[in-house]
Amino acid sequence: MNLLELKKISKSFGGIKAVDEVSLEIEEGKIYSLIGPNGAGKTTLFNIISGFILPDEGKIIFRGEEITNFDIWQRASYLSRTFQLTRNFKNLNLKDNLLLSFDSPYENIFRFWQFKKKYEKEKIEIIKEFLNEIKFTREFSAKASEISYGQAKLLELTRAILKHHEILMLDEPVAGVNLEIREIIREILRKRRENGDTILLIEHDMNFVMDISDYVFVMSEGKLVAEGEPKIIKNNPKVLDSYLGAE
Amino acid sequence: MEIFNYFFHLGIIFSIYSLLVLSSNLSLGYGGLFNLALPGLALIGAYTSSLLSLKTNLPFGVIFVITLILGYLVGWIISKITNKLRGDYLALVTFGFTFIVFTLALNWESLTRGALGLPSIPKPKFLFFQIESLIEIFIFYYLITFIVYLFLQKLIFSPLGRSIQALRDDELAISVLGRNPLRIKSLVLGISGLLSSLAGILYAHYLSYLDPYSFGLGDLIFILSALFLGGLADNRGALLGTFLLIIIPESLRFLPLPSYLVGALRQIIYSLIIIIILWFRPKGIFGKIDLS
Repeated sequence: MNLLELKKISKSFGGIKAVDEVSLEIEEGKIYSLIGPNGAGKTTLFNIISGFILPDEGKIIFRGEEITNFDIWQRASYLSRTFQLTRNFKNLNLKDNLLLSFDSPYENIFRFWQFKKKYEKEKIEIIKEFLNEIKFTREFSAKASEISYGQAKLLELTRAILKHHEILMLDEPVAGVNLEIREIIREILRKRRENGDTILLIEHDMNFVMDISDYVFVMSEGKLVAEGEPKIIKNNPKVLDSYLGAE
Repeated sequence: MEIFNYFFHLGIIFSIYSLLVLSSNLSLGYGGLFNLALPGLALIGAYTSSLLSLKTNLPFGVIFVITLILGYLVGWIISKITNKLRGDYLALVTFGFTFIVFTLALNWESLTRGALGLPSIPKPKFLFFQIESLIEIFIFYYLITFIVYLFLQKLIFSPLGRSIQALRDDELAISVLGRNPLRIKSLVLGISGLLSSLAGILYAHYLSYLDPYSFGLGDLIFILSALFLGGLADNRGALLGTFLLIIIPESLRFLPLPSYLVGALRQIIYSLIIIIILWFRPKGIFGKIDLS
């Protein structure tokens, strides 16, 4: 059974069809990339899968269950995601930003009173272990608004990974970061795949996409114009035409 | 002795307004919800408790609990109605709510006696203990304010408090992490409603008189000024802001000024404090967050 299936998803804004009958299937344990020129509908499709936008037509099926009309927070038990422009909690420190990855049993009005720090200590150990692995060295007490752009990308990615998920959706994970952080992110994603994680990412950096992906979807003008393994996609004339504007 | 009574009175007023400022800090400072319904909710609390005390034989303890539940429910209903609204729009609707409550209190004369107000509201009584003297009221109100402060501190530093603050920073991002933002908003506005109605109860049963002007626009300005002065998202700041805004204008009484000047000077002092704080320390004295 596929992990995630999109069946003829369409979405229009005014008279413009941002996503036009897109169908795709995602299996477990692979890295998928969604590429295409600006305005191709990639982020709109991501937002439809995440539940930010409801599609006009089509179905989203997760492990055989239709989730098309689920709220964002209901889908969160299946998927984790990051954003093109990072969305960290700017007034919270790094510790609190990362602890939000975990669903605390004390997070309701009837149990918050019982909260003791022991629960958090266990989670902080998990966080520290992960941060050591990726050599993220900022102190926990720093506010999210005080860290650099690259660190903010890593913070958001860490939160998405540590949160329980079955599919990890990353919107331009290496856009605007320096080479060192780009390599760290590449390594993180490789390790996630080795651990059996399923990843769907949007990226404009073709070298990164071709290097890391198992399978690539290409969108242009709202349509899915090609799909396949990176080496096949690289030489697909349709892709060259739509993506690079080749004659 | 007179001077002691005066300080006890100031202390009681401080405890009542502390509840309103703490309530505002929970919704605006921690939750990022620009809730201007607080004076309306305080009026609801004050009228409910006063009318039940005057027109029924229910014990004060029961009236107290009923009023708090009603305050929570009204806050909860506001959250459902304003589900899609944030920022200025939420502020406008909740401000409208305060005016609706005020208008009802003023015009529903068969129930509230309108502008004539409700006199002879009894002092609080729990079981056989009648809270009568100024010092008893002072101790009782401080006990309540202290319990509320501890409750809010525990709430804010719990995982639930973390989600409340995350909602303030980014509603979409907290939804992506599996939290239902509407549930958090309902909780915040519900507790805020409960605390405001608590302030209303304490006010009415202390002064023994209530009219529709007891909580209004002036109180809203006071609450927000105290909150911005003390600093958003810090309950110590909320208390300090309230204290300073009560004490500083009161000091005018001891200056040899004509009485007609004192009232105007008080407003000038509020304005000056806000200008100074916004100029030199826009986050307030203890403030931690930047709402921009």
